[in-house]
Formats: sequence, structure tokens, C-alpha cells
Amino acid sequence: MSDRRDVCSVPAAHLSDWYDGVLPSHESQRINQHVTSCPVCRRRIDEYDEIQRMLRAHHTRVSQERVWRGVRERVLQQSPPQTRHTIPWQPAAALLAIVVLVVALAQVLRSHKTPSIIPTPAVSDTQAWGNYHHATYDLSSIAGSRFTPTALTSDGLLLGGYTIAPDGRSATFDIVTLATKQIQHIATNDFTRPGETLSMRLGINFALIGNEDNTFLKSYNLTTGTLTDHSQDHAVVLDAALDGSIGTEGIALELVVTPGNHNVLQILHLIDGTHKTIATDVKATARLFSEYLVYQQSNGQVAMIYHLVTEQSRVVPAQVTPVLFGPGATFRVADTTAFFTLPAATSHTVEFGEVDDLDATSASKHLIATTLAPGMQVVAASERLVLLSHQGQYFAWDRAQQRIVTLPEGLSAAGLSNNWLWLAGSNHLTVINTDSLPQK
Amino acid sequence: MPATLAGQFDDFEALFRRYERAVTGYLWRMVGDDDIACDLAQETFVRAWQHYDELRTYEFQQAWLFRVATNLALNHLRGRVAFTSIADLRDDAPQLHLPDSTNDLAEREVIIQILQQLPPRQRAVLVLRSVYGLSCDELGRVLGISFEAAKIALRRARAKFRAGYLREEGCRE
Repeated sequence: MSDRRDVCSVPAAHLSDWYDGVLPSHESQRINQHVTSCPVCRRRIDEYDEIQRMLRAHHTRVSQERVWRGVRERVLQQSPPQTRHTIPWQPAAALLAIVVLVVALAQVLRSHKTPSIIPTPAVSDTQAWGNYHHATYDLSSIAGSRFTPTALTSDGLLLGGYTIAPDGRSATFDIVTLATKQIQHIATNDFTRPGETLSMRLGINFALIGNEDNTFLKSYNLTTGTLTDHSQDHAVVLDAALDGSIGTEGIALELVVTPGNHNVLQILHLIDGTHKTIATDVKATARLFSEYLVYQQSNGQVAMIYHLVTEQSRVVPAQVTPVLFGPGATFRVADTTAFFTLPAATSHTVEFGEVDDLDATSASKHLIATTLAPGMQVVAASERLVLLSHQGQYFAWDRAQQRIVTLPEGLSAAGLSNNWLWLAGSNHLTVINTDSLPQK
Repeated sequence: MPATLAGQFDDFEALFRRYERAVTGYLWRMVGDDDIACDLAQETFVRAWQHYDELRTYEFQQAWLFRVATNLALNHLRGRVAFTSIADLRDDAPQLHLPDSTNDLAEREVIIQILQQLPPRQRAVLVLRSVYGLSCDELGRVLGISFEAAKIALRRARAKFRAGYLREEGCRE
């Protein structure tokens, strides 16, 4: 398998869909023709074939007889398989069941109109989670006492951050491999003014580093080690998505102010430096949530959502305020009460699913928390946790345990990366595997 | 055992012989351990026997078995720390999960290791698609998710597996 990064206009996610035969026929035909002459796509298809070959090539060492012995033994100890019985009054029972369902549905719908407010239990500290899988690192021994963590990769392996020089005139950006403590230096930024705000995002394949006015903006390909300068784009970078299916390429969201004072929203593909215009006359508040880009037209309050993979736009339903999209949830924050909507609150698959259908998310609302203070910010969301902050104090809303956990005081930063919660103090970093948190 | 039940048991054994390799192989890729895969496969077929009266009439018996196996695997994984658990990364812990350049890991071990680094549902869709050829529709039915969610999970799983493999390759070089 090759880590070469040649350029092709077909996103990897699109090619993956083609490979799985789930593209519309006209699009599939287009890719059919394209791949015959595109060495980049051809190589990636070869890689998909190779992944398939590798997954198929190896087998369990458990013999069929061993499995059968256990099954046979248990089956023979049991009673015969359950038999379905025909009930003579089945039609009447079916009718009764329908009536019960209709009444229940009506009650559910009524309750959705006026959700009951039940205070969310809050607990004082992370000890409430009991024994969970975590590790604490002495950052000063890894990257020096001035290292400020800003991002963790979604697999919890790489930590990104920066160190401000003692004279306060520059900062160096580094990536630390937590297991080996190896430090990978990316770039140095000479400040144009003291105390610049710096940012860093870290994805599967890319790190994006920058300062507040985008005079310093670079992307770093973690696989090839290539550093690309984007500061000449004359655009303000609003957000970036470096993870997931689109993130294998890496996408930054840019806003360009035209001479007529119109904001043009465009995406920048980090892999090849190409731009694509999404909309004109937009407000400067666009954000990326996984594969979704949410923005507002400057002439109205209506929020739009653009799907980066299918390249389709649509209006966000009025009842959904796109404060944050996380896996399985769309958040709406109103006054002191936070809501999130689920495609179907009763389905267990939703909690761990993806937000890919806004119509479905608007169908019902599910109250999750009521003890949030005014001004509390939703920082990030994962399948398990929602990270919140209020006046410098961080909280985690545990979606499995249905309660708010107060995180330790004095954190300089905190974040969620896939199934990792990371908490940075002045000189230490604690990384918690959220898969290890008890369910109850 | 009465004759009718014995006949039914023979039919059940035929079903077991037909699908056992797929079910155990799938579970092994899901949990990364032969013994656990064996236990979960046995549980899957015991449940198949318990519902055999219905199951034998199903057109897609394999999909039913995969669904039960998936639920058992996810339940098992939920109670277990991830393979690339942070304990392995602790300062005082041996670096178990990272490839060791002095110890040339067999491809089998590497594949299983990378699979275990994927979120369980992504692992499930990648294996069911790549090894057993399930369509996104079938993946949705097996995992109880929508077609779109299955498609996205598959994309992500493939991208993550590829990235994981490249990382392993890089570490070995």
C-alpha cells in the first residue's frame, strides 16, 4: 500500500462509494470512465482490493468441531426450539394492539409538544465514573513546560500543540507521539504582534496550524511530512475538518471578502490546494460538523446545510439550531435549557449513528439536560460525551449515564477526539478512553 | 430425542455446517480473539436453535445469524477496553500495541490489530462487506442502521483501516 498523495478531483469517499456500488448509475458510469485513465484512482482501487484481500486471507484458528461440540452440548440440554402458536382470536388481538399503539403514539406526540423538565443529575468530579481507562502524562518531561496542547488525534495517539519562545516573539508547533514521547517539529511562527492567538487542528492525515489573522497558516501532511503554506490565499479560515471520510483529504473552510464586500464561502482541499465555492453572500459564521457545512445567508436568518460528500444543499429546519453536530445529535441551546434532537429517540441505533437526515432529526426532541447554566458553551460532542464549558470550568454530559460530570478544576484546555476525552492542565495531560466508562 | 425433533436437529446441524465458518470468522475479526470468537459463535448458534422454528423459514438465514453475532460482539466489546487502550500508552506500561521493528509481526496479527483500532460498528461493516460481500442495504439490516449510515460507516472504516495500515507500515520500516 502506498502513502503517495497525488492529486485527483474525485474524493476518496466518492471512490469508496463507487467501489461499493452505491453511487447513482450516471455517476457510477462517470467514475467507470474516469478510473480507466486516472492512475491516482487506480492505485486507490488497488489498495481497496488489497484491504479486501488481507481481510479475507486470514482465518480463525478455531475448528468447526470445537464450536459444534459446545453448541451440541448446550442444545441437547435445552428444550426443543420455541414454536409459534396460532391464536384463534388473533384478529381481535391485532385490532386491540393497533388501538393501544395509536393511543400510546398520541400520548408520545403530546409529550413531545410539552417536554417535561427533569433536572439532570450532576456529580462533583470524575471519580463518579469509577475505574475508567486513563493515562496521565507529565507534559514538561515530554515537550517542555511551555507546551500548550491543542488537539489529539481521533485514535488518541498523537498530541498537537505549540510552545511559545521565552522571548514571547515566536511559537513552534509540534506533534508528540504519546506512546514513544517522540516530538515531531512542524513549523515556527514569528509573531506579527505579541500574544497572538494560535490554533492547531489534528486529523488522520493532516495538521492545520495558524494564527488569528491567518497571516500564518499552514497544513502539514502527517504521512508525507509535507508542509504547505496557505497564508497567501487571502482568505479567512473559519473552520477545518481533518477527520473522517472527508478528512482523509483534509478540508478547510474559507471566507473570502470580495471588493463588493460580499462574503464568498469556499472550501479548500488541503491535499491539492484547490478551492471550491459553496455560496456567496453569506454570514461569517460557517462551521463544519463532520461531513456537514452549516452557514447562513447574509440576507436572512435561515441556516443552510451543505453535505460535502454529495455536494447537496438544503435549508436547516427552523426548529433545529445548528449549534453543534456530533455523532447522532444535533444540538439546540435555548436560554438555560439544552436540547438535542435525535432522529428517533426510541431507537438505540440513533445514539451511535450519524446525523445524515435532518428531516428525521426534526421529527422529535429529546430532553437531555436541564441544569446547564446561562452562557454555558457546548464545546464538542462524541458518541458518549458532550463537552461543555462555563466560565473556565469544564463539564461532561454523559449520554449513557444521563448526568453531568464536573471535570477537574484548573484545566487549560479540554477536547473530545472520537472516543478520547483529553484534559490539559498546566503541566500534565490526562487522556481518558470513553469506551472504558461504565454504562451505568 | 423424538424422531421429529431428531430430524429437526439434523436440519439444524446442516444449517450450522453451512454458516459456522462465516459466523466464527466474522466474530474473530470483530473481537480479535479465537477463544472469545468461539464462545460467541456457540452462543449465536444456541440462539439460532432456540428460534429455529422461525429461522428455518427465513430466506436470509445468514443475515439473521450475522445480526445476532453482531449484537453479541458489540455487547462483549462494550464491556471491554479498546485494544489500543490508553493503558498501553502509559509511561509505566510496556508498549504492547505498537508495532515493534525488531519483532516482525505476521500479517495476520497486524490485520487483527488494525481492525481492533476501528470503532466496533465500523469494524463490523468493513468485515461484513469486504469478507462476506454484504450490500449496504444488508449491512443496514444487520446493524439496525440506515442505508446512508451504513454507507458512511463503510467509507470511514475503509479510510481508517488504510490509514492504520500505512501507519503500521511506516512504523515497521
